[in-house]
Amino acid sequence: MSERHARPSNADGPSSTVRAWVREHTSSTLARVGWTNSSVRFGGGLVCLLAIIAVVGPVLTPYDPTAQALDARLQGPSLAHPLGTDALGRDVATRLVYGARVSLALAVVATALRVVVGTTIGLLAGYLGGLVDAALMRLVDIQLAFPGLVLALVIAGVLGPSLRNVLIALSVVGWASYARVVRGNVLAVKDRPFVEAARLYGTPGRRIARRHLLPSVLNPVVVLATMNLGTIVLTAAGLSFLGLGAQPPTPEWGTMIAGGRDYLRSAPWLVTAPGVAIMLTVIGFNVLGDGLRDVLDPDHLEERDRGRS
Amino acid sequence: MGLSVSDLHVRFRTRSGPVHAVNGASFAVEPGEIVGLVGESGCGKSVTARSIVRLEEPGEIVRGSIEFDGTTLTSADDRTLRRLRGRELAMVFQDPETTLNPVYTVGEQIAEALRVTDDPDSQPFVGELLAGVRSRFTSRANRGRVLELLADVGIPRPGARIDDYPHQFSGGMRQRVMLAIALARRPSLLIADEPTTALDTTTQAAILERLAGLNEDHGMGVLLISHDIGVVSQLCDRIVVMYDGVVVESGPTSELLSSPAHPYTKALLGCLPGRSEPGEPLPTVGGSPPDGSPPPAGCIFVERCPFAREACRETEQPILELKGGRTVRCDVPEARATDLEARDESSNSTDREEGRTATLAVDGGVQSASPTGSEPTQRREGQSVLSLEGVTTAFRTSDALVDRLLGTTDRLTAVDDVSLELRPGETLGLVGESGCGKSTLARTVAGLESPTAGTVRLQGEPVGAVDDRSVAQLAEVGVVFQNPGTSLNPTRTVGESLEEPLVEAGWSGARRADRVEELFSLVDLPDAYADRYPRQLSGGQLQRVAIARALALEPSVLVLDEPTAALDVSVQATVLNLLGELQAALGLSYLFVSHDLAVVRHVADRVAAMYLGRLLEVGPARQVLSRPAHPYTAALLEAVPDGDALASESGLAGEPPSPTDPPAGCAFHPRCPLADDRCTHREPTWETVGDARSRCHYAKSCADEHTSTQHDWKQHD
Repeated sequence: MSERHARPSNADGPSSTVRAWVREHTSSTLARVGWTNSSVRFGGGLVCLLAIIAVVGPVLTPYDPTAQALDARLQGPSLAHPLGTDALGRDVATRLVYGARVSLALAVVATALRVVVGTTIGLLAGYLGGLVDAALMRLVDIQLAFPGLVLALVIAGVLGPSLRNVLIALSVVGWASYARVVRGNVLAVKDRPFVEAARLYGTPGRRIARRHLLPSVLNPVVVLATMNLGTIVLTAAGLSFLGLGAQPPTPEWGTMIAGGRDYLRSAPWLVTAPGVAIMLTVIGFNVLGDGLRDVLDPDHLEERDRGRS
Repeated sequence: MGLSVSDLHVRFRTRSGPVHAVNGASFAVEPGEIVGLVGESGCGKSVTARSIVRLEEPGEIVRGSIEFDGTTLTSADDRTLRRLRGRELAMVFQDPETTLNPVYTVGEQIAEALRVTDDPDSQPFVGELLAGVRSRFTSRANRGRVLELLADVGIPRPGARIDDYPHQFSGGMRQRVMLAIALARRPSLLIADEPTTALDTTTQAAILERLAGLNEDHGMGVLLISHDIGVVSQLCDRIVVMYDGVVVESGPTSELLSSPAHPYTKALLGCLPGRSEPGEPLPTVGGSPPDGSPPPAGCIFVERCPFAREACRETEQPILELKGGRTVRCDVPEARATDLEARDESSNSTDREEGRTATLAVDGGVQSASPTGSEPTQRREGQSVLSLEGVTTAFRTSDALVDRLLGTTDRLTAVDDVSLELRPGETLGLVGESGCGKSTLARTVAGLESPTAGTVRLQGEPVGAVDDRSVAQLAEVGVVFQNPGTSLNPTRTVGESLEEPLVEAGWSGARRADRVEELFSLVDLPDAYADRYPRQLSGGQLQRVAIARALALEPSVLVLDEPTAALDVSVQATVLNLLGELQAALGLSYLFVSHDLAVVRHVADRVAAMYLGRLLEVGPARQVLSRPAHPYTAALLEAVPDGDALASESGLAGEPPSPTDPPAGCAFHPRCPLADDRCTHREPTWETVGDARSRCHYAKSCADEHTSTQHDWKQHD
């Protein structure tokens, strides 16, 4: 859109032009991701904060997340240890920061796998139809018939407890909802005249799927994925809590809660800190997803467009 | 008494500032009177109607008053409004698809309206919850009244249909149910907001006739809203013409039609394809329709008015009283005095003087207003571009896996043994009611459906469905769909959409850019639109882009599937003119599918009438549309709103039968006024009458009858 606005003249030097260009483009990009929506702002802010902590946190903290310091066991929150120390004298704040890396990375990778698998299957089923559709959708039904967490438990149990196996377990269970959402949207779009017009001028099937179907079904996928990130953080922590995921001494939120369970009465910060972290992450992703759903709603898009033009 | 709206102002608050929808509308509807409210899309008709029943949300009434039988609606409280809506004011909306609740039977929905009427103040919340499970109108009295209402609005066999759900009804029948719900209140005023716009011409005629009958029987006042002055003129006692939220002219129908005073009324009347000579360019309304910005200080129509003076810009036009109870909001004597034909001629001649440089901004685009009057009927002899030989297209009625494996499903024959030819440079109009298979035939020609029997030949070569066609064969046929809103990919810019066929055909980048530019100028749109997204364009502009895309690969045939059915009458005129110009310039052949015979008469050289998948009559347009040799074509013609009084009961009765179970003998016999015993047994063969062929046992007598009754269209003007 911004290209069509009158460009500022070059008379007052290139720097001001650049600045105007940057301002124009950042504002339009922000508007495009829906920064004007308060849910998106709040949820997005929370998620960004977490991501920043996960990335730069380890640089800021002087402690090693796994090094034991038995002389400083179970200390309460202090200036040296803002969130106290655990039973082996490790700084809880440091472990929380490293744990954010683990949780977020796991959530992002697992969601990405789910999205890719689910979207591909949904696209194929919706576009090809017929027997392919029937076969793929029965596969989806089978997957949905298993309770997700239980299946993940089984997989993690069979493959043995480790972070990698949690990742596999979480990727195997969640894709079916993407496949369903994508298939439904493809079915709604694929008989629209613009897709038929594309067939009429000889567009091959794969290009129809990529150019015409995929962009039209992406919005609900983005919303679903955002919400999913939160649940995956929660599920991964749950699996780790049960001892099926990250193994000690890996700093992981679920493992930290499991380790602090025994000291619930004497050192409540051991459980509270990772618990609050999980809660904030889930809330952040959910609110962001909610906001994105409103923002990406087609009616809403049009209104925003009118507002800007 | 009755309804009076005075100085109504309605505004919508949006992020981009207030939208001024209604800017001081004043008019009245006397009890028992039928008043038509006419204007283009966006002129504030619907908002006015909704304000009357106080459904103007999210808009707000900022000024003015609406009075009904002594009650001021604009300041009435909820209880009064509820009572009025329940008993006095009823409304029928445009789209019968969405106005009925899909989870209740129609009988129940009518019964609910009856209950509300009997006691508008009771709101039995708990009772509703309890009643939700069992059927709500077990009492015989109510069921009887519902049956009566269904019969009243012309639903055949109401006893069998009362327990059906809305999806089991056709569009026309659903609109009748909406009417029944409205009538359940025995209203003294019925507000009908484009009640027939989504319907077939034949269904439209039946609904309008029903409205007229109800008005007569019950003395009910009707406010009929439409963008099509032709529809309104059939029925109404008085017409109110609205533009940009202001009433520009009002008066008794006959006087308003014979000598319109306001330039806008003249322009609207001129757009009707039925009023011009076939093939001649239609007069259009210049300029773009109002966009909801604050009204200007002077005359609201000044930007599009050919008679505008300097004074018009500055001073608001006074409302003049003319004789015969007419009012007009125009102070320029020669604008009022010029009659319709003279206006067309004067605008034509000025265009000729200025040559082809004269451009009018039409629908936001730039159109060269050069009615050259070229004959699109010039016919080059030779091989037909497109021919159909015994084409049959059938669908399975169930797509379920089990049915497919067992082969147990019924087959629906949408197109049944159709043979047709399309010659170079010719327009073939394909007409028929909804569901007659004309769209399926168009899709079969385009290759979107593959025929189950018969051959489609393109330039003599047999072709299959899209996937089996060569690049050259694909390029031969361009398709324009009905709804311009969905025929372009919403996620790509208009320019990208236009470029895509060229990419698929393997054109180089520079050549593509040139061609896109060329296409934009072909359809009279500025190049700058290439960067816009479809949602930023109006319906008429989108249809131009869709036409441009169909032309991208230089086809010889355009398949036009109801290309103007979703557009306003004034926009339709510009699109039809564009199609005419393109045909003359590029020598295209058109397969023009439409249910609107007025449009077909305007564009077509030959006409083919379809019913239940079969062709019933084929012949030159002039003959078929003036001396139809088949009672079906005759009935279609009767249904066209042409400003005459309503067609009498000779209109098409009933609904088309189900295509899964077509009647024996002549498919049309259950609805045919001429049908006798022979028609129920023997399927008629083709009879030649003049230059046309008709599939009727009584083709000759049918044609003769219509000659003798002088049902000659051209005399009408």
